[in-house]
Amino acid sequence: MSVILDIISSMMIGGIILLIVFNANIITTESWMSMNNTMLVQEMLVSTTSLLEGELRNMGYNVTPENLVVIEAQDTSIKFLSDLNRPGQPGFGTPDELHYYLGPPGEVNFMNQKVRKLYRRVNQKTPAAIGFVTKFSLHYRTQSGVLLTTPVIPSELSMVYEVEIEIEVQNPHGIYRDPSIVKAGEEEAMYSTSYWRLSRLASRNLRR
Amino acid sequence: MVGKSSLIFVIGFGIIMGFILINMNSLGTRSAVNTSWYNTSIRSKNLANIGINVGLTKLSQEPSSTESVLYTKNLNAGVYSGGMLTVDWDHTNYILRSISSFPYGTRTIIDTVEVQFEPIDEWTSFTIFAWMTNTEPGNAYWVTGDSVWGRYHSNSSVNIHGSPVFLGKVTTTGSISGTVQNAEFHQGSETGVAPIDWPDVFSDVAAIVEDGGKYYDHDNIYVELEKGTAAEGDGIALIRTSAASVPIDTVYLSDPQFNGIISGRRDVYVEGTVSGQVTIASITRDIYITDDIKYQNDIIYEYNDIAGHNVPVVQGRDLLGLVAKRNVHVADNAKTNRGPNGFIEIHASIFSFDQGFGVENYNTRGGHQGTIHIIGAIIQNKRNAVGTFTVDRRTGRINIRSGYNKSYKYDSRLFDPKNRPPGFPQFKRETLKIVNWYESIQLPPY
Repeated sequence: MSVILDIISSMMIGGIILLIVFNANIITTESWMSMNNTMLVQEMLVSTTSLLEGELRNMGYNVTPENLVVIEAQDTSIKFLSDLNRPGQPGFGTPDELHYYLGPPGEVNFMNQKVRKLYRRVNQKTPAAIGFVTKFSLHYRTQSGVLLTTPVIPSELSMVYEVEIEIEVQNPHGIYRDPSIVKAGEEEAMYSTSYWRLSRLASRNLRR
Repeated sequence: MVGKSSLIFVIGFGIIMGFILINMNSLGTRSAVNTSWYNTSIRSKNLANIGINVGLTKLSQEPSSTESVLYTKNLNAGVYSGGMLTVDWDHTNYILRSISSFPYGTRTIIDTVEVQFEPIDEWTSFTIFAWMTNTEPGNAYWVTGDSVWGRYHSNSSVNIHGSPVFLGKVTTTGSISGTVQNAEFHQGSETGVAPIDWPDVFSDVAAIVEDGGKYYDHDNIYVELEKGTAAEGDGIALIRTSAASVPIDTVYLSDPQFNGIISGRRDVYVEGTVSGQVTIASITRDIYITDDIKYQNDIIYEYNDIAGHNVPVVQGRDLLGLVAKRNVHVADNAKTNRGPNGFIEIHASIFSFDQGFGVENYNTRGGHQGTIHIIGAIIQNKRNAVGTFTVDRRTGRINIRSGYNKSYKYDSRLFDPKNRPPGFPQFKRETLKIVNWYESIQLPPY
C-alpha cells in the first residue's frame, strides 16, 4: 500500500516538475532567441552605419570645387563623389562615384516582409549588399537649414549641405506569436529592432 | 525508483538551464560590448576632431608656422581619459593631421582627421575692425569715459589711463601699457599678435576711388549730403567749391551709372544726412567733418548675445565711407561745439592713409566740447588726439581740458562683405584655404 502511495505521489511531483520544466524551457528559449536576435540586429546596424557614416563624412574628398559632389539625392538613395583611396594608393586623386540605395521590396524572402537589402555601388561595379534594413530614409538641407524636396532637382543639388539619415534594422526572422493574441496593426511575429538616426551630417568638404 | 529518476531529471535540467543562462549572459555581454564599441569609436573620432580644431586655431593665428608638431597630449582625466592626441603640421605640403588613439579593452582605436590646405592671398576689408591703427604715438591715451564697441587692433601699442571700456576683443602687435588693471576688456585682449599689412601706396586706394567715380579737380570741395524720400537709398550729394556757393554738381546716389565714389583733389568738407551708399575721398589731403553726419535710416539698440551688451543696429542699407590721403578731422567751428554734455554724431567708416582721425585744433579749442559718437569704423595710420585731459591728483578723476570724449561704436553690418562702403580700402593677408578634409573610417571588429 505504501509503495503504491509512493509511486502516485512521485508521479504527481514528477508531473508538476515536468510542467515547470517545459514552461521554463519555453520562456528561456524565447528570451535567448530575443537576446540573440537583438544582438545580431545591433551588429548589423553598427557595421552598416559605421561604413555609411564614415563615407558620407568624406563626401567630396578630392573633388574640385567646380564639380558637383552630390550627383543624385532621393529619399532612399544617394549618389555622390568621393575619393576612396589614400595618398600612395592606386587611383588616388580620381574621385569615385558612390551610390547607396535600397533594393526593391520582395527581393529577399524572409519572414519579415519589410526587410530590404541596402546596396553600396562604387564606380558602376557590381553592387554589394552591405546590410539588411527595414528603413533607410534620407533628407537633405541647405546651408541655412531649409529642407529640400526629394528627389532633389538637378539645379538644387549644389545646395545640398547637410544630410539627415534614418536607419531601422529588424531581424529577418521573428518569434512566432499566436494569431489569437495579435491585435489590429500589430506585427504577427516579434522582431528585434534597432534604430539609428543621424541628424545634420555635414561633410566638411561641402563647406568649402 | 521514480523519485530517483525525478532527481536525475531535475539535476539534468539544472545543468541545461545553467548552460543556457551562461549563453544568455554571454549574449548580454556581447550586446553591451557592441554598444560600448560604438561609443568608444565615436569618442575616438571626436577626440581626433578636437585635435584638428586645436590645430586649425593655431594655424589661424600663425599660418606660416613651420613647427611640425602643433599639439600633443596624453589625457588622464575626464571623458577622454586614456586617450592620446597628436596634431602634426606638414608645412611643406600644407597638410594638418590629427591622430587620436583610444584604448578599447586590449585593443587601441586609432582615428585620423587630415586637412589639406592651399595657401592664398586674401583681400579683406578694413571694416572688419571697429578701430585699427598702424602706429600710435606715446602721448595718445584711452581714458575714463572712452569706449570702443567692436574689434580693436593696433599694429603698435595701446596706452591707457583710467578705466576706458573696450567691448570687443582688443589685439595689438605691441603691448598694452598704463593702468591696464583698471580698463575693462569685455572680450579680452591679446598682445604680440601678427601685424595687419598696411597699404604701401595710396594709389592702390586712390585707383579704387577714382575709377568710374565723380572726381572734382578743384582746390577744395564741400559735400552736403541730403536725405531723400522714405524710399531706400535715394539721397543726393550737393557739391560746392565753398561753404556758401551755388552747387556745381548734384549727385544722385540712386543713379545706376554712379559707382558710389565722390572724390576731390584737395580738402573735402562733409556734412549732412546719408540715404544710400557712398564713399567720399580726398586724393591728396584731408577730410573735414563740419557738422553731424547721420544715416537717414533709424538706428535701434538690440541686445547681442555674443557681445553681451546692446549694440547699435542700423536699419536699412545706408553706408558712408570717408577716405583721406592724410587726415579726417572734426572741423573746428561753432556747429561742432556741443558743450560738455553734447554729442556730435558721425555715422561713417573712416580711413586715413598717412595720418589719422582726430579733431582740428584739439588742444586749443576751448573747453570740453562733448563726445564724439561714431557708429561705423575708424581705420588710420597714426592715431590723432581728439582732446586733452588733466588728472585730479587727489581723486584720480579725469577731466577733459579741451576737445572731446570718445564713444566709438561699431556698425555690425560692416562685418558682412555685402555691407561695405563702395571701394573702401582692403588689406592683404596670407591665409590657408581648406581644399580637402578626410576622416578615417572605423569599422567594428566583427
